[in-house]
Amino acid sequence: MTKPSNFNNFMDALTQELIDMPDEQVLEGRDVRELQAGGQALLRSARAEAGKRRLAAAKAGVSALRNKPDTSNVQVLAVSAAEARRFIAEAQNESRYTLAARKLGEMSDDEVLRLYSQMKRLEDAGAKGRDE
Amino acid sequence: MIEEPEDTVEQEDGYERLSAEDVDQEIRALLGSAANFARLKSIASTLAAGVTGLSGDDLLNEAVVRFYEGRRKWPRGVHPLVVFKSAMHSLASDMRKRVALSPVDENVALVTAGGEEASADSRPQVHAAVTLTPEDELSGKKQLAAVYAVVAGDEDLELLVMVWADGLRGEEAANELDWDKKKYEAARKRLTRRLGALDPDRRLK
Repeated sequence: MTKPSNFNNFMDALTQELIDMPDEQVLEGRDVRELQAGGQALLRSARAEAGKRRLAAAKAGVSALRNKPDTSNVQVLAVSAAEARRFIAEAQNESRYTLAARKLGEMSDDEVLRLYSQMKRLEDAGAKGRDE
Repeated sequence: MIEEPEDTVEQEDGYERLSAEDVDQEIRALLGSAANFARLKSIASTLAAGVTGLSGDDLLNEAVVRFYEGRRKWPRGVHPLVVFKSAMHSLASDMRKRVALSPVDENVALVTAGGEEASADSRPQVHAAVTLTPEDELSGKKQLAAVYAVVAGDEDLELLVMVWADGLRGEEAANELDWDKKKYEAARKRLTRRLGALDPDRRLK
């Protein structure tokens, strides 16, 4: 019994028949050199085009990232070590964060700023979670 | 180049995919063989038939680009020609849908009124697009008509197209046609050659 006549059947049969055909039959009367050159030219141009598109996609991704405002970075850059210490001390008093039992005074400015940055990121993430 | 539609290709899940390196090897092997490149061209130009403005070379090029881009995955364990046939079939279907969505039928010329006999209405006239039913679209009626047009006048090739479209091939198809192996192979060779040489400018629109 045959299937309903359609183009998909035709394409399946054509592909399978081409696979079954010996190379000599496929190539009979054809210019083999021209085919070889055509295959290589296609390979080169398609690889170059794929590279271009991937680069364009990567650039678009980077540009989208740049346009996204990153509030925590702005805050980190804008804050001084003294301000960061004040913020951390207040956060400890308000029990907003459970911090390791270490006195703020023992921490270097770099450590304080790093901690401040982490806390701000946590705050941002929390705010985003509530918004969603 | 084919315009950039979002790749709506639906690829079945459950297939193991080849790595980018393996895909590169497969494509290099295919394109490095004159016989396989000829096979690919036959498949590509047949699939492009019935899609306005699309050539087999454009279609083949786009499929290779998408495999290298990684937008199209390569299932493991499937014959490379079948992999390409599926990829190009999806691309051609997307293109056909885009052409079909256009309000103007690109298969006919835009007619502008002019001359003394023209009516007072001088606005440009367009032909309505020829509508295919969803069933026609699904069965690829237009593409099959394009293939029949390529072999028109050659009775043996018309018969071969018919039995392949009915889902028969190989010995089964030869038996159905009551042909011996020699006649079947000769007709098959002529048909694949004819399809491979399909000129997008001369084929049925």
